[in-house]
Amino acid sequence: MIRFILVRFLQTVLALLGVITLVFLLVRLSGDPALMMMTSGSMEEDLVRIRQQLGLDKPQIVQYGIYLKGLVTGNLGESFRNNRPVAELISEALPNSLRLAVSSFIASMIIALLLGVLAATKRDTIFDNGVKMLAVLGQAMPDFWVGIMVILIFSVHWQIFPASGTDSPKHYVLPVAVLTFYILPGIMRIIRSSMLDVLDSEYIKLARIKGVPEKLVIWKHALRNALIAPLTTAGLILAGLIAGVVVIEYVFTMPGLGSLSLEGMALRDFPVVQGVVLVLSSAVLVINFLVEVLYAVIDPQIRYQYT
Amino acid sequence: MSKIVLEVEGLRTSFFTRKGIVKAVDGVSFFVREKETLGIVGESGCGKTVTGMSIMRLLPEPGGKIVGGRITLNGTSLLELSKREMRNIRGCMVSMILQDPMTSLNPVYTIGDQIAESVRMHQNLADEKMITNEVVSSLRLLQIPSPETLLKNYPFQLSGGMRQRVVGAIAMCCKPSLLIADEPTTALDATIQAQYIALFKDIQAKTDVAIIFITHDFGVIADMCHRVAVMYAGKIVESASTSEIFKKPQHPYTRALINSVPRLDRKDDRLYSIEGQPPSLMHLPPGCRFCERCSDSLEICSKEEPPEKNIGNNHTVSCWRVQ
Ligand SMILES: Nc1ncnc2c1ncn2[C@@H]1O[C@H](COP(=O)(O)OP(=O)(O)OP(=O)(O)O)[C@@H](O)[C@H]1O
Ligand SMILES: [Mg+2]
Repeated sequence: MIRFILVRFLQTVLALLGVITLVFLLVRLSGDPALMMMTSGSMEEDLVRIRQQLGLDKPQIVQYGIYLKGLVTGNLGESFRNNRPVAELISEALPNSLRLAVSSFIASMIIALLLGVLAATKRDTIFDNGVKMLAVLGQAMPDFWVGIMVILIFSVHWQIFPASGTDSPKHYVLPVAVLTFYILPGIMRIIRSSMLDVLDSEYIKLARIKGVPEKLVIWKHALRNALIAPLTTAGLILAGLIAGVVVIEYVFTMPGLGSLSLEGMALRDFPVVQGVVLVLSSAVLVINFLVEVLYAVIDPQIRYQYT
Repeated sequence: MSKIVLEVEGLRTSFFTRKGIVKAVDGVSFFVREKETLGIVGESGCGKTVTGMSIMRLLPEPGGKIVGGRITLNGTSLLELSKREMRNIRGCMVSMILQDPMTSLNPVYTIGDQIAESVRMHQNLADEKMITNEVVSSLRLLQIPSPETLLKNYPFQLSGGMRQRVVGAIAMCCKPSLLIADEPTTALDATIQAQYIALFKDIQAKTDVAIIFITHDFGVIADMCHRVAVMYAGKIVESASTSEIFKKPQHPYTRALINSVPRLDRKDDRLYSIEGQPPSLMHLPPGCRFCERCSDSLEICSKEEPPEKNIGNNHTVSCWRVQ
């Protein structure tokens, strides 16, 4: 188990290095920021001066060295737009996004687990079909549209919840609900079908033959096996979550990583985009690492591969 | 004679599907005594597993339903029990071994946990140490080497033969009076199969357990069973003691099955197989179910079902040819 974790940890660190390099290269491929900062009255000399200021006149490899050194010391550069340190901008935006992402993730996991398992055990009943409908709706309706509808209903018409901002937990209710509804169907479907497979297996028959009560058959014998398949697709769910966060923050005008990166991209604000992408991809890598560990906890066969 | 452990009378089990009603078991009667092994033999799809699952009252839902008959286990009428009462009997008074040892054990729990779960549920044992003792002694009963270390293993660490022994230990750990073994050796290779059968004879001698041995192989019957019931398309067409059935098989289907066992003493080593297909259980013919495949049929065979006749020595057969 310890060896397994160590191996996975090293792999994660390597992947992180890869991501860091890739981000550096990709951002530089997307165009010259100095050109973007020109105004109609600017001269050729201005362009050269700006490039100098930003360090863009140095050879790429030197730029890369400066970039790496900055990362190690926690210096992500300064925003082109307002000259504030990117690390500061991110540390302001990150908590909001984290609150939004983590609460929607937990909420959707709990709901998906309950509905997915119950739908599988009550296969082809009204309940199962209802859950299927819910899943289709969740996947068919774009999240920004659901967000706007929810604002119209609960903020404009009934005025129960605020439509924007991050001041109180109440402000998070609508965005979390919309985001939960957005990522729920995918997880729910995977859990349901994986549960159906497991419920069909011989060892579930054997559990019943032993006289295990049906509740335990499902929540002890079946569920733990049924979680293995959904875990492998956890990466996809996460990708959905991150895309969702960006859109939802925009719809509910919440300051967060989403709005930070959207603004950064619109203005070719290199350091900001770079910083946000780095944070997001490290988050994905860290979560993938945690998922792998969880995987080993659930499935003994994986744990024993590395001993 | 030792006492009767299980008596099944006129059992009928059907599956209610969208396409129609499948009469998988259609009026089956048999009994098993203490220390006795009854073989149920027949081709694939004739209703052997459904018969076993009906006794366990574990038919696939929705759809599977016992529509008639009585099942009496140690004097208790199983079909009248509540779900909870039935659960207490399952795995305790009656247990079952399934066909495939590779998939019968839960991959994420240790062998010890899986046996202990049964012991904990069905026996009122005060502490963990007593439970572990029971688990170890059930592994010993199945002649599993070094049970104390095996306890901590996961199923994927064991061979197929060893897994099937563990499944046997789970079945035997609460000392059932009836064990239903549904083709427990089909997935194993020949030497391990022979070992497993010898093992069960030994277990029966030690525990007096009554066994229903389900198989489609008459060869296994000769090694293992005291009596045999031959099943065809949801019915028992012939039953007798093993020696009697090999000496004087009456039903043409029984004879065909016996002939299809590969034998070393026969000159031509061609494998005999029965031509044709059994009838659809959804649209059963009015007469004898074997009629279409029978080389010996009479006119009445396609019109009326043959009644069951006792020809002495507890040998019963349902065939118009037998007088
Ligand atoms: N869930 C089900 N729904 C509908 N019909 C079923 C179902 N399960 C079994 N049957 C039918 O019941 C009949 C008996 O099946 P059963 O599994 O008892 O056969 P078997 O004698 O055990 O065969 P095998 O040697 O292949 O295990 C089959 O013809 C099958 O079509
Ligand atoms: Mg079967």
